[in-house]
Amino acid sequence: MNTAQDPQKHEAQLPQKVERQRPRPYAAPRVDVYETKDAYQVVADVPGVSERSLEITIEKDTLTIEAPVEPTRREHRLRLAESVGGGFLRSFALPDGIDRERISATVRNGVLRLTLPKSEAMRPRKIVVQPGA
Amino acid sequence: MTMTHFSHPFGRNQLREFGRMQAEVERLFDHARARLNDSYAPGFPAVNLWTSEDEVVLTADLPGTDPDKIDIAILDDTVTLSGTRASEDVSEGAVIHHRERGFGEFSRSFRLPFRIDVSGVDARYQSGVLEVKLPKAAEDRPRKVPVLTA
Repeated sequence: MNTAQDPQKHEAQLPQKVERQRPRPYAAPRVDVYETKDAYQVVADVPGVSERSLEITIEKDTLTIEAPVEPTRREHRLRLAESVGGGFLRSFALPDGIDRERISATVRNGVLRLTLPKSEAMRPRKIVVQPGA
Repeated sequence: MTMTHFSHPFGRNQLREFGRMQAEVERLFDHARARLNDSYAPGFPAVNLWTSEDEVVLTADLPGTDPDKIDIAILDDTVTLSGTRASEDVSEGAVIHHRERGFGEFSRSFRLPFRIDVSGVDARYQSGVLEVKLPKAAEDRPRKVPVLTA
């Protein structure tokens, strides 16, 4: 895998040890990922998720988004269930050159926005060629 | 004594078969509609339906949708959700690596087993989830018929 040439975030496997017990199935959220000269932006659809329940972790080179959705308790009978319900989980391999201290995230109307700024060293820069003596 | 419905001209099995066929037809229509805008996953938005004696509660996953751009139309026993979801504003010169989130117009219809009391419909949007309460119209509620003694 050549992350330098292809900085696209690849789906990463969760480390084997991190097997967790989940009462209900999680779904992989649909995402948009785009890259500007300063940062990567990850936009994920996480309906029903608030900032309180959202967990973003970085372990080695893997960034994981985990967002359980509280089950709705109703006296009604559930007749149709297209929404997975348990929550959202997805991991990405972090490309090189991310300034990990400055990663930021917001959730609004069920949409998670993650900004992964590139470190200074990875930003494109122009080298001025000095005229020869 | 509670009178819920009149006896049906079809037998029970035929009625069930008819219901199955109707569900199949609606599924095909949903597919056809989804194909008009293939930016979305089939069956967008995902919907859950809860029922009780008196109402149906519908929830739809509509993350990042402006509530003003969601339209809920009710006709007799059918509710139609439609609207538009804005595409992500990507600055010029940005490289797009993944684009999985759908955008543009969407529409889905659901037929309930009763007529809807339009005046009692209540809709809320929170954390990207739309919740619509659809109460049963008075004329479709079971009625108690008092038995008079002669």
